[in-house]
Amino acid sequence: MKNSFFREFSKGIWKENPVLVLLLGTCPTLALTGSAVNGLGMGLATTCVLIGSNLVISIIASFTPKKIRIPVYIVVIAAFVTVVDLLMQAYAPAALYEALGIFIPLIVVNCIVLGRAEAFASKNSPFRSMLDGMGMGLGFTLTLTMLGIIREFLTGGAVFGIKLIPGWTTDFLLPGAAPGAFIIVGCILALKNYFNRRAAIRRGALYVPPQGLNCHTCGICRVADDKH
Amino acid sequence: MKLQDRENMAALGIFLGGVALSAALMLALISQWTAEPIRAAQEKTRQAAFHRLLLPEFDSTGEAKTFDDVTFYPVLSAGKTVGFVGQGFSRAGYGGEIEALVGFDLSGKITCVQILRHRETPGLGANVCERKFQRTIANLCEKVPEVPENLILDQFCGKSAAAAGNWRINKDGGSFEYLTGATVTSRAVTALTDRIAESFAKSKMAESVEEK
Repeated sequence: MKNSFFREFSKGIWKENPVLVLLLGTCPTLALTGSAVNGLGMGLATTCVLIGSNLVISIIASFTPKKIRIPVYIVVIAAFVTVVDLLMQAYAPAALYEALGIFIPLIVVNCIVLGRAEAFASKNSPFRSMLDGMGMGLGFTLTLTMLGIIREFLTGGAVFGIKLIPGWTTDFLLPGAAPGAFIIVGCILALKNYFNRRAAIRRGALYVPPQGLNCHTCGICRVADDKH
Repeated sequence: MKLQDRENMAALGIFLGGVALSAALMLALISQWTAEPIRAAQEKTRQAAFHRLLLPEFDSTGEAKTFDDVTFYPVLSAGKTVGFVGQGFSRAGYGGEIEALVGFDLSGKITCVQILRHRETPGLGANVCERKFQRTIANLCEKVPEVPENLILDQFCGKSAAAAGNWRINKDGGSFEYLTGATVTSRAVTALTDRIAESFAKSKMAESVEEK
């Protein structure tokens, strides 16, 4: 049992990583990873929202009327986002809040949060949902920070604001802009798939994506079932 | 009938209303709880912006006066005016509005220029607007200077506001340097500083203090 709790937590980091496997939340991924600090801040803010919303939604899901569950979930998520926004305004460094600015309220419409609420939290126990939120949030944070480090280094030779290579050109702007981020995400995706496939072939099996991610089992599209 | 399968419009409305109400209650509580720290944090950034302008005398800001679209704040030290800060904005930037703070001492000289808010291109126009201290391995332990240097903004330091009115970058026949690749931003910042300095000279605020 303990083992399965750990799996609930760890699946978000590699096996079902929200950015690299589920391909959710691409907007903040591209827009906010210009520097490692911004990526880390956005990741942590999203993690807080995910844990809170997953916990509350898994509690209320059992008695929420099915027809209005999406608006109810959105209200819950929006409330948590506002809480995080207020707390960041009050206690986060001013420079970080300025950089993340308008993207904090947009966590409300981040697919990862609603996706986990509908596909996981509404069907699982509060404790499992919290673990899932933590794992998914951590996976998101790690990916964003890694992307931020790569982009910051390529544009200015710096990491976390510290210039590692003094003579590095600052004229290479592509990785700092959204198109460059897209290209880098693509490269990381290709690498990840390559490693996954190689590992599968070594085991002598075919590489299959994790169960629950294909269209037949994904919960989000139950929206269509509402038409009787 | 289970609540989950309810389809009655009124019941659905009441449920959604209840959820929204409890969310609102929670938010009201948290908002009240964070109101004071948020105000303190905002005050701190505002003060820091002024503080950097007129070192080190600044301790508080006097009542604002507006002259020609530019807002001037007297900068006080122990109740006495030691200088002025002019705040104005320009729409001539490459990415929209640029808002600048220009500090003046009592003799009418510009002490410092800071950009409060801008949306210029990162890596190009933003380099004109931002004072950023570059950390490297070599200076890892050094203290960050209060006013990191910026070659474009620092040109205005020490210039007299009385001389303003026709400041231009040297590409346009003026005497101020501009940043290659960021001509539009350099032009906008120069024109904005010029406008703020000119209205400061016209308003004769510095003189009125000395008379008192």
